Amino acid sequence: MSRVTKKASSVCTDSPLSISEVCRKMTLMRQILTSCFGPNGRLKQVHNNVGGHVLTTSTSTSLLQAVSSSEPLLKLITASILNHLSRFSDCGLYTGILCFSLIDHVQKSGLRPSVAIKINKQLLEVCTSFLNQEDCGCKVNVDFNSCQSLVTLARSVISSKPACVLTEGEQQHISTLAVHAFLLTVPCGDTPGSPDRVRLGRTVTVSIEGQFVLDSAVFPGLLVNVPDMQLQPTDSERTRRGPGPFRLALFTVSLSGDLSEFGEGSLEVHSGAPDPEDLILDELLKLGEQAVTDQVEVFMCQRVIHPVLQHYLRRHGVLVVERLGIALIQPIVQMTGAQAVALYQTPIPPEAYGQVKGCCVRTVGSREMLHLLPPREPAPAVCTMVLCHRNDTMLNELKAACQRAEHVLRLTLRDPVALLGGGCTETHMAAYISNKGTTEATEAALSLGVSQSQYLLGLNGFCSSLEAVALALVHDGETGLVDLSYAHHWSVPQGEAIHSGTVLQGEAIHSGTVPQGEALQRGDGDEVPATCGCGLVERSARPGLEWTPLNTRYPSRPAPLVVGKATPPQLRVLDSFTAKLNALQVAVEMANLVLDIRYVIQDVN
Amino acid sequence: MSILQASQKMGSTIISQRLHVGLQQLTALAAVTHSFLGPNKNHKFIQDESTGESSLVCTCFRVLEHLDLTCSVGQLANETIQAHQKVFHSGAGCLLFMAGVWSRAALECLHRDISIPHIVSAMSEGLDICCKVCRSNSVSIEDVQPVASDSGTSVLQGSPHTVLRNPVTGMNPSHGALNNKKRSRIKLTHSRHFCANDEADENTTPGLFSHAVSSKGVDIAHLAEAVSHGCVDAMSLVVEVSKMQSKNNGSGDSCRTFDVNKLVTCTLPGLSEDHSCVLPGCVILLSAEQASLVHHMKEQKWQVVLINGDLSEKYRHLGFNSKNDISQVTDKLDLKGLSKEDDWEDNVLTTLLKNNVNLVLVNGEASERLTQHCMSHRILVVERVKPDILKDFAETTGAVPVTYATQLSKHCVGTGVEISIWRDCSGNRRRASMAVNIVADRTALVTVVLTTSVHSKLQTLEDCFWGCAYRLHHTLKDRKLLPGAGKTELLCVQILQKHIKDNGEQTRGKDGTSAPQAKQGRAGNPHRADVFQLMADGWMDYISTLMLNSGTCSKVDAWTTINQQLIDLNGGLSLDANFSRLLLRDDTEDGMMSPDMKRSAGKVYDNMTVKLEAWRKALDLVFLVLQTDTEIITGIDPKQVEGQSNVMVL
Repeated sequence: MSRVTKKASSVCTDSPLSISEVCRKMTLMRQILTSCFGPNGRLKQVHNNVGGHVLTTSTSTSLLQAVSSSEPLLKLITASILNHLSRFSDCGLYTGILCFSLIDHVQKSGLRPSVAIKINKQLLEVCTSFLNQEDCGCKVNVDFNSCQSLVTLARSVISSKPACVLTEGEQQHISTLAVHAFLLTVPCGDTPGSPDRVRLGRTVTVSIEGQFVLDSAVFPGLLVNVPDMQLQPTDSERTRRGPGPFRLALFTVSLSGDLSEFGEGSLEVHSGAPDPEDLILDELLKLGEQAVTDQVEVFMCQRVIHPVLQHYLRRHGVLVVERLGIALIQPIVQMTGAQAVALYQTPIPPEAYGQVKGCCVRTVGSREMLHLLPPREPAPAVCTMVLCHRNDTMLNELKAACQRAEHVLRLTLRDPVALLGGGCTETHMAAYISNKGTTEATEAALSLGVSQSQYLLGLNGFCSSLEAVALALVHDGETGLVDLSYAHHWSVPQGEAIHSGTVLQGEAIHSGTVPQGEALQRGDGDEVPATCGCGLVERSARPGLEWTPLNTRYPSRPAPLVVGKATPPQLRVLDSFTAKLNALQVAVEMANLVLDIRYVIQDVN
Repeated sequence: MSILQASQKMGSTIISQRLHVGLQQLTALAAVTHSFLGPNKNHKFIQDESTGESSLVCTCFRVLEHLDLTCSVGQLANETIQAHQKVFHSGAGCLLFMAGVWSRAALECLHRDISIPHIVSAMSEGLDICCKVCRSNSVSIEDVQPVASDSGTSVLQGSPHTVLRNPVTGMNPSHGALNNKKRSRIKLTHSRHFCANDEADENTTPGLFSHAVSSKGVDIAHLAEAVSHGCVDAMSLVVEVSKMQSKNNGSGDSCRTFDVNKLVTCTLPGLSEDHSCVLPGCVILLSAEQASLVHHMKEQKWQVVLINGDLSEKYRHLGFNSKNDISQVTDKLDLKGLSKEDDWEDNVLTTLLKNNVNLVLVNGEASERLTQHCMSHRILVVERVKPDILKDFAETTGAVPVTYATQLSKHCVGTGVEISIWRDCSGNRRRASMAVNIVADRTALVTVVLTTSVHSKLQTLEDCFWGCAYRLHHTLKDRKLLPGAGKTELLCVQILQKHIKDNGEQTRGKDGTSAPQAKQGRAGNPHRADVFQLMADGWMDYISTLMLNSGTCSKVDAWTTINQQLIDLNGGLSLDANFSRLLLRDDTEDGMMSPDMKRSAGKVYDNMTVKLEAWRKALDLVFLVLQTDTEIITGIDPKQVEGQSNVMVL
């Protein structure tokens, strides 16, 4: 029974950003994202109020998908971050932190939104062109002649998620596997038919809980889950038999022999007429006969195969695998060249058959799986990554991290460059923008039609927002520093500065308005770590470096020097260039959009 | 930890003070299982207030299984424990205990203002150091002597000093070699051109159906005793199993092999515990009627078929969607009065008779009428047979399991099965009252019959038995054991204390700039010593709880004893041989231990991989909880949480 209720009229909110409740929620969201950021970030436990599964994560994708807000502005930002993630997988938290920070700074500066938007846009252009410069100081080339930078890229992604709980050795192992898997999916030579186009293969992830992380491995080809009872002695004979290639048939239609595909409605059967089930089984057996005469050796189905058909095929030495699941169909098609057949009433067209080079039973962790070997080069390479971890929570986080790493590695094929990690790109870029903006403030302000002081205010907000991202890497009472020569990011562990007292006075850090002379100190003790965040600048190699706390305001800064890369030291952290560039754009554009919103109209029905 | 709630429509958020409730919850949860540590376990009753049901438990994973874990930390712990149990079938108690004590250690670190990254790095470094030393101090199973000698104590006496001499590198040579081997292999497989084709056969088919671990020259019976951990009765059953499997294997009377995958248990309530025994093949309960048929089937080889599913006309295989609305239309009266089911029954019976089948083993249920019919034709139909048993019969008799009886043909029939009555279990008013033993030729399958007159103890007995079976399995698989009865933990405490001492000396004579960079990261952790001490206290807690549970002394006395031991150890004295005996005094003085067993009571060993992995998982759990700062609850109406001070709405 339905009840008619009066339709409530829509609720209109004027200047949503001026409402304290909205601001509070935005601050909260910003805190959540900031606290998740980086290898020392904090985890979040997400569950529903009726005792459902507990998700423990600091990955933006999992977090933002699980948590939703009632606030339309937050929904808007979340959606755009998720959209960015669906395209690039990486830099979700980065986007969020930068976006919220930009909004926050504009609100605090008191600039009119329209003015701030103009300035942000112009500065975004400066940033993009800076990052795209050949001699940009925070860019390094990815050298495909060695795995080193690829492994570093992968490791940066994997080590940035503390919920993976990996030891250093395990991190190295997993990063190497990620690179290995990536290399396996890059085909050798051209794809036949289209010489100037390369089609990448794919990685299928199999996760196994409760095993040692170091048991994780990468295999060329596919590993297929086969229920225990299906591995019958005949199969093991088959798998032992000499080298292939074997002919393979693949079905997506259910071969269970039921009548479900006739749809709804009742069926009347004349007594004396054959049973419809038997008729279907006859059809299926005809199909089996054809497969046997066509010398099919591997017979696979996405769904269920009738046991009688299975029995028939096995008797004729065919390897039968059922219930593959939809996720494996596309990889199998890609690897074997088979066409997935969606019909069993007609004979199998000969061109639908695919090939595998061989198959064997492989024990991975506690599971026995069927290993299908790829038929030949240079078919698009498909590989399987088996990930093992000690419990489900960490396994899920690791799986997400590995998939992200794979995506990041793939992006390097388009742009073979990477950005310095560890917050150094942000601080370096902030210093560059700050310097460039200050020196060219007059012309820029003129062309934008704003006053010079407005421009400087906007510029400062923008730079502070960039630095806020670097600062988000710093947790637990650590102090974030930036050096004055190269503008790289350094973090001083908690307690160190307090013990020695040589770096900076506490008051100087917090007030942010102290005269320059007092704030700058020569850090010549042990307090500052041996290298900067990314590992490019070594303290021992560059005597005379000076540091200042992040996010303090100085009237002018020299342009940061570019570190000579003649003998580059081992870089510790690298970030994806493509993903970060896009994240920067999304963050600035989203911030501008949100600043531009005047009314929110909500349908409350 | 702060709690934060968000909901789909009207989000809500809770934030409480940074009390680290999670760590406290974990400690509290672990405390529940303290009494399960050690050989003298105290049982626990768990009662469900709402249903009035209660169950008797004495293992950690059963407790968690029965608890209604509403807090998220509880769920996380349960997930970890169950995952561990699934893979190792032992060591879950150790895992939860260590998670509890180490979360208390972490909490204490936080109270001392040590930052989380420092706690995490120091604790994982501490565990790494200890694991390495434990590995290098493990005892090869060949060295586990049957007669109590001094070798167990000499392990503790000599080696720690040699290992500790190099505290920074701390690497055992053999272990390092292993690592290098692994690494170099990775590098080679790195490129697609070195890819795994040549190693494709490495761990593939041949071993598909065999998981037996052979002991290669060591006597399993002695090993079993060393890892029995007080479950003497259960372990002697395991040894029996090994004897029987060795005999089937053709190794004669000695215990040479043990295959945990060829082992099933059958529980029979009603008989007293000393009726527990080991039988070849499988044991199945039958009704008196069916059993009378077995009387005629004695001492002959029979033919068998295996049915994967139910034996009934209505049954369809998994994934088959039955259509209910099929109606029969007829234009003439059916005079024969034969139903579809009659047809089917005739069909099945004819097939069985034609193929000379005498025994039908069914995974699911069998139609009652067909069973009766078969019986009159001297065919025995047994329902609800475990899949493991079916699998073994398929391998040993050559029978091919089928889903439908109508599918059966000559090649599906297996041969060489013997059936005999094992014992009469009637008298306890149950339908099935005869235990029948079914054995296939050349089978390795062994059934352990567990009996008890107390019904609620069955589960406990079964868990205990499987615990023993898997401890032996892991022993043979690792081929290494750790000194048990707290000795390994004591070694860990000693190593950590040694490191604390060295660390202190290093800091005093420290010259910051000259320190090599690799070292600087470690030495850079100013709280390393504090964290190590708290971690070591966790292990001390473990040992003292062991001693407490053995009933030999109070917890305070235990700490004193352990501390004295540590002083002696550091002074170069050997470990007091009585120390481990303290832990193992048999409370039931003239209990079931034979004099021989008493003599070797000091020689207790633990599984290496299981223990080290349990420690690692315990620490993982602590890290996950420690690093969590916010709990987000979704799907909450903000009105519910209004007014709660620690709640924030998103």
